[in-house]
Amino acid sequence: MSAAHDIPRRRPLLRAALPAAGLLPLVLWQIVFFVVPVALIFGVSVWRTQSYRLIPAFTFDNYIAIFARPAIWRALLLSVETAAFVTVACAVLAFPVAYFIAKKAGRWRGLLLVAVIAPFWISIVMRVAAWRLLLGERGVINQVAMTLGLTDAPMSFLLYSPVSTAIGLIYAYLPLYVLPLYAAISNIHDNWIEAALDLNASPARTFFEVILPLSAPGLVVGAVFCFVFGLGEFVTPALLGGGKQLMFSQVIQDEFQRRLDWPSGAAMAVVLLVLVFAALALSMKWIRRASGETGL
Amino acid sequence: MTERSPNAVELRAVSKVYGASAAVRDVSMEIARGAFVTILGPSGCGKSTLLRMISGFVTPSSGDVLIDGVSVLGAAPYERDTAMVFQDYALFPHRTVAQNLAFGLRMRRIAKDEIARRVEAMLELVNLRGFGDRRVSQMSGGQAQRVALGRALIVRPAVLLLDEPLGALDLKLRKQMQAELKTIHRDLGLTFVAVTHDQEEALTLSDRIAVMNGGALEQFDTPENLYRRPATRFVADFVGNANLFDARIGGGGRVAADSLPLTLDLSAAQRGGRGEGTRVALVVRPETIAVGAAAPAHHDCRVEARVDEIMFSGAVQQITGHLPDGTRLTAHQSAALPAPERGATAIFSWPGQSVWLVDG
Repeated sequence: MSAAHDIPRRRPLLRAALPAAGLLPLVLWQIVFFVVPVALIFGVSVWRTQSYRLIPAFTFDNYIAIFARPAIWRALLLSVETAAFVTVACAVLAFPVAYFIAKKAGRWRGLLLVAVIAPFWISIVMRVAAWRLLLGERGVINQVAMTLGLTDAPMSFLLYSPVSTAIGLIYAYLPLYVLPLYAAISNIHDNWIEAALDLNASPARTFFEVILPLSAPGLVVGAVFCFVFGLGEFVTPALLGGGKQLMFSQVIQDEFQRRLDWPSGAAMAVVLLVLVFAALALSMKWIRRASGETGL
Repeated sequence: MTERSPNAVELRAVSKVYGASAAVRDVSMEIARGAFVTILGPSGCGKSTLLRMISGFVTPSSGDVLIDGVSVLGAAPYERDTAMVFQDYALFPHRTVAQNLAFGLRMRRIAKDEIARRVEAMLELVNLRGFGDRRVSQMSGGQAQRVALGRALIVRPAVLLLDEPLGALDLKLRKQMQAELKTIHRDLGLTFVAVTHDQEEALTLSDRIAVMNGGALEQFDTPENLYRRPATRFVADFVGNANLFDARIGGGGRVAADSLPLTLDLSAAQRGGRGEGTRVALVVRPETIAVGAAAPAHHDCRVEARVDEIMFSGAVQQITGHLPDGTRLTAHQSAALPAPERGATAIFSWPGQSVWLVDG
């Protein structure tokens, strides 16, 4: 009896608030670990330093300095270039893998997906270290190339260069591209592909007319992962990049730790954040367009 | 110029074997140009495999497939002049209705202005004028089915293939689309080959029906012949309702039913040349049976049975009964006639000349 009376007694506001309360941990998490730190970074970025001491101020000198110092905007350019190259390379490499797992693997699908994720079970530092063994002047690749007589001297550009950074990043991000692409391709009905072939589209045209456009949501999500992570990546360039040509994240770290110029580093971090947000905003637009078209 | 084959499609002894089991066995069929042929059978009978052999998605293990008199065994689906209406329509979700319709024409490299003209005409034909810019996700089931039909029709294929085309529609819409399909077929004069498990749909739509069972072709004939002169016990049972009574041909053309107190004098045509001693089954259609105390004069076959159930379904009432030995009987008669009483004994009667024989 009393239970039956309890239900209508609940106030409408409370009823609306209850499901929203489930979001509370997320909201708190975002505030404590994202909004507040970003606000602090932004705050520091308009301060000044004098003799390694922070002086509260409100100046945009730090931002202007980023573009006035060639070393810095060159690092930024290298970061954007590397991230873009890694993104494109991952897309090209991930597509056949994702397509095979989604459409051709049959009962091996589960095992192959686990294999794609497996590298995540090992620390990134160890995985990057393993690449040093492969790419070094006396590493596996150079030894094999010299034994086969492909080169006389070891290829030194393989390690401690933007090339090795790119190789390391492609290796690290490939699973991040395969998974969303796999999800998108799984959603392409075999019947759509058959309908295209049946209507006299060659396999190549079927790919460009049906498979590729319907993979767009996965392509965009994968690209966001690769580009955004690649832009701010620190570990891989630090371990494989050699330190002659720095990426933006390394310059930021340098400002904070070596030069102790926190405002300058903070300003660079804000610039990086704005770039990431721009990439995200752009991709959201694409995703909305792509998903609007795939909803059947 | 070589003489054009009168057949749009010809299957010559095609089989498809998957491992140890045969999905299609030794099927031969000639489909005349401009015909509406339906392949009918229960699920798993191989009818879809047969359709996919024509479209090119299944390669026969043996035998030959000809389209317009030319073997297409070596041709991929995109090299064949066929177009399929898929069971779930398979409309491209990233394209508008008009773009879906235009797809096949674009792949065939038709000029842009002609594509536009033909798309407009097709929208008109399938009653979707003004829907060209809609997304396919905004279409109802019936509308999506029209788009699928239009997308295949627009290329004017040598053969239009329909895989359970109306299976996803509700009854009323299905009836309406059946009528439209028939009209479109007549107006365009294209060859239609449809697959269905719905015998009523097959009977309504087709010029000829191929009944398949267990991968084999049981009979390929007009709807009327299938119904009146079924070739096999399976066809008699599958197409329409039938009372089947096991029997044996005796001397002098007399046929004695095993379980009915009944002996029939059948004409040679009805016996179909079967000799004395042959095991057969009598096919008695429910609508030829009258139930009531006084049987019509020309109903020379009469048995007394107990009435088990009377089901009223509008114009017709279905009366089921059983003989003393348990043999069941079904009769359909006009609901305007008086119904017998349940549990009572009634005379079930039919004219002997309406009986058909199939091999037992």
